[in-house]
Amino acid sequence: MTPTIAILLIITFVLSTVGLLLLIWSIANNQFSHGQAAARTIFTPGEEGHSEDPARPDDQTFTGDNHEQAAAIKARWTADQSSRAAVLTWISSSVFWLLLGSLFGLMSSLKMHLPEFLVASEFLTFGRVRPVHLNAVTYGWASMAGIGVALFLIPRLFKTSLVGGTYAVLGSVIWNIGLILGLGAITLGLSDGEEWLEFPWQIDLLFVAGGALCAIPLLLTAANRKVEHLYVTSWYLMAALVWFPILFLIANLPFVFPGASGATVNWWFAHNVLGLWVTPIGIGIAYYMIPKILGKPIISYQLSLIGFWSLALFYSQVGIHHLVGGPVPTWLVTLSIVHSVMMSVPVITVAINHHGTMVGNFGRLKDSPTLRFVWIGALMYTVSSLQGSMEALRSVNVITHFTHYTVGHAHLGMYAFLSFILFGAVYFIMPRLTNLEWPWRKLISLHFWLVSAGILIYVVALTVGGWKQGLALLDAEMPFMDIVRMTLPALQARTVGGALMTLGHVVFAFHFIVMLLHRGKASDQPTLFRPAAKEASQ
Amino acid sequence: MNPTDHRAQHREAPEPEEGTRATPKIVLAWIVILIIWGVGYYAWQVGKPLLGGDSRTPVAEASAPQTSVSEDSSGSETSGTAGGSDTGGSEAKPDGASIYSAQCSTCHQANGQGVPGAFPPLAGSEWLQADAEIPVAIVHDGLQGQIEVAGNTFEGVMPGLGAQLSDAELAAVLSYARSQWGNDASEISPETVSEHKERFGERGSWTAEELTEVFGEP
Repeated sequence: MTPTIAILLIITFVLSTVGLLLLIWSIANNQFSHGQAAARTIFTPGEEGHSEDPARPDDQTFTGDNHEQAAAIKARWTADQSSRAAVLTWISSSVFWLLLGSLFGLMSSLKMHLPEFLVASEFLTFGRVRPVHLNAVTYGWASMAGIGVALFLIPRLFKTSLVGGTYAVLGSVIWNIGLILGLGAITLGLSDGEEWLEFPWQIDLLFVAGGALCAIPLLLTAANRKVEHLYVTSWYLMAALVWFPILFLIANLPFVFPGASGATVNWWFAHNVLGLWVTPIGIGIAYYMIPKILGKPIISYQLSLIGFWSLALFYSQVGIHHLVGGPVPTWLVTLSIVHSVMMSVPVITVAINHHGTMVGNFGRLKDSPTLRFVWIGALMYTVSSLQGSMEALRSVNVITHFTHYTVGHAHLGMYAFLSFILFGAVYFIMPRLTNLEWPWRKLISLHFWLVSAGILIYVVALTVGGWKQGLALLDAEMPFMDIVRMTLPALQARTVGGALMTLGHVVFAFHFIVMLLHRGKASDQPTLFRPAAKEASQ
Repeated sequence: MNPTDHRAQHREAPEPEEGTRATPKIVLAWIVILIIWGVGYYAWQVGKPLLGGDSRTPVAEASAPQTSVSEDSSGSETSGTAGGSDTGGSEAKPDGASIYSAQCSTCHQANGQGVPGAFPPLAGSEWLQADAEIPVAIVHDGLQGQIEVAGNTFEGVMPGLGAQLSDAELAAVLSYARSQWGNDASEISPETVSEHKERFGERGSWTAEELTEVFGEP
C-alpha cells in the first residue's frame, strides 16, 4: 500500500468517526435539554411508572381502570388489529420457509459426511441443496419473519393504525412467489452463481416489488405517526427497511460487476444482509421486547444513539474481509478490517444497553418465553459480533478462512442471535393477534431446549473442528484427505445439532398452526415456562 | 370493544422508553483506543506488498527448510540428492525442495501423491522417471489432455514453467522429484534443459501421444 492511499484512508477514517461522534453529541445534548418531555410523549398519560415485575412489590398495578389507562390499552389494541392480517401472512409464510429451509440444511449437513447420500438425483446434489437452504432461511424465514414483526411493531411504536395493510399482504404474496420460483430455479441448476445472490436476477425483481409493497404502508404509517420522539426500535426497523432494498437492487444488477469487482460487490452485499438488514431487525426487536417485558426503560439514550449511528457508519464496509488474500486491492481489504474491528463500538454499546437493562431482573428468564429467547439472542449478538471482529484480523483469518469455523460463526449470528429473537417475538405477538394464549407451556419449553441444545452442539463442534482444520491446512506436509477425515467428527456432530434444531422447528410450527387455527387457550394469563409463576406482562 | 377482546394488550407493560444514563467513561476510552488503533493499522500497512493481506504466500517459501528437516528426521532419504538444501558440493545449486514446495505442491501435494481424480501422482510416476527428456519437456512446455499415470487415467492441464524457472532451477526441481517418495531416477543436469530448448524452441503444451511419438514409450 502506498503512503498516499494510507494517508487518504486515515483522513477519511478520522474525519468520519469524529464527525459521527460530534453528531451524536449534539443530538444527545439536545435531547437532554428538553428531551425528557419528548421521551414522555410516547406514553399515553398514566402508562408511565407501572412495573409488572413480580420480584418487586406491587405499586399501582396497571389495570386499565382509569380513563387514561383504558385509552392506552385501546391504542395498543387498535394498532394490533390494524396490522393483524399483514403480520399473520408474513409470519405464517416465514414459519413454512423455516421448516423447508431446515430440512435442506439437514440434508446438506448429512452430505458433508455421507457423500453418497441422495446423489442419485441431480436436483438433490450438494451444489443445489445448500443454496436452497441458505436462500430459504435467509429470504424465507429470517426476512419474512423480520418484516412481519416490523409490521407489528411499527404501528405500536407510532401509536397509530397501520395504513394500507392490504399492500403488505399483497407484498407477501409476491415475495412468496419469488421464493418458490427462485428456489425452484436453484434446484433446476439455474443460479447466478454468487453466494447469497443465487436467485436469477429476473426473479429478484419480484422481491424488489414485494418489498416495495411493504414499504408503502410503513411509510404511510410513519407519516401518520402520533408521537414526536422516535423510540430506538423504530430507528433500527425503518433503517433496515430502507437499506435492504438498496443493497439488494445494486448487488443484483445484471452485467454491471464482472470478475473481481463482482466478488467484491458479492461480499459487500452478503455481509450487509447480515449487518444492515437482519442485525438492525434483531437488535430493534430486542430493544422493544426487553423493556416491554420488564416494564423498565432501556438504560441509556446516549448509548442507543452511539450504537445505531456507529452501526450505520462502520458496517457497510466490513464485507470485504471475506476476500482477505483475494485479488482485490489491499487498501480495500485493510479498510474492511479496520471497520470490522470498529464494529465493537456498536456491539459493546448495544450490549451495555440490553444487558444493563436486564440487571436485577434475570429471575424473569425462568418465566417468560419471550424474554428468555430474546435475551439469549441479544447475548449471542454480542458474542458472535465480537467473534466476527476477531475473525477479520489477518492473523486469525489465515487460520479460519475456508474452514468450518466460519460456518459455526455464521450460525451463531443468524440462528442463536437472530432466529432466537424472532422466536421470542412470535411468542409475544400471536396472543395479541388471536386474543388467545399458547395452549401448551410444555411445547414452548420443548422447543426452547431442542433448539438451544441443537445450536450449542452445532457451534461448539464447528468452532473446535474448524479451528483444528484451519491449523492443519497451514501445514503443507499434511495430505489434504487426512484433514478432511479429521473434520468428520465435527461434521457428524453438526448433523446431530441440526437435527435437534429441525425437530424444535417442527414443534414450534405445530404450536404456531394451532394458534393460527384459533385453537389457543382462552385465558387472562399468559402461557409461561412455570405454571406457578406470578403472572407478568408476557 | 369487548373487554375480553384484548386480554394480552390489557396486561402488558407500557411501551418502552429510554433512560438517561450517561455513556460510561470506559466506552469513550475504548472508542478513542480504537480510533488510534485504526490510524496505526492503516499506517502499518504502508509499504507492505500488494497481496490483499494474504500471509499464506510467504508460508509456501518458508516451508522449504521444514521439508528438509522432516526428511532428515524421517531418515528415509539417501544423501547426495539434489533435494536437500544441506547437500551438494561447493557450487551454489538452486534448492529443488523449495522450488517444488512453491511451484508444484499445490497440485501434486507435498507428499507427491497428487489428488485422486484430479492431479496425477509424482510418486511412482513412469513419466517422471522416464528418460530425462520427457519430464523436462512436460515441465518446460506444459502438458494437457488424457494421460495414464501409475495405472490411473487423468484429464487436465498443467502449465509450462519454462518462462518462470531458469535451466538450473528446472533441473533442480526435477532432480528433486525424481529422487523423492520412493522415486529412483537419475539426476537431471541444466544442460539437458538447454538442449531441449535448442531442439524445440518455444512450443505449447505436449500431449501424452506426442510425447510417446517423439521420445518413445516412457
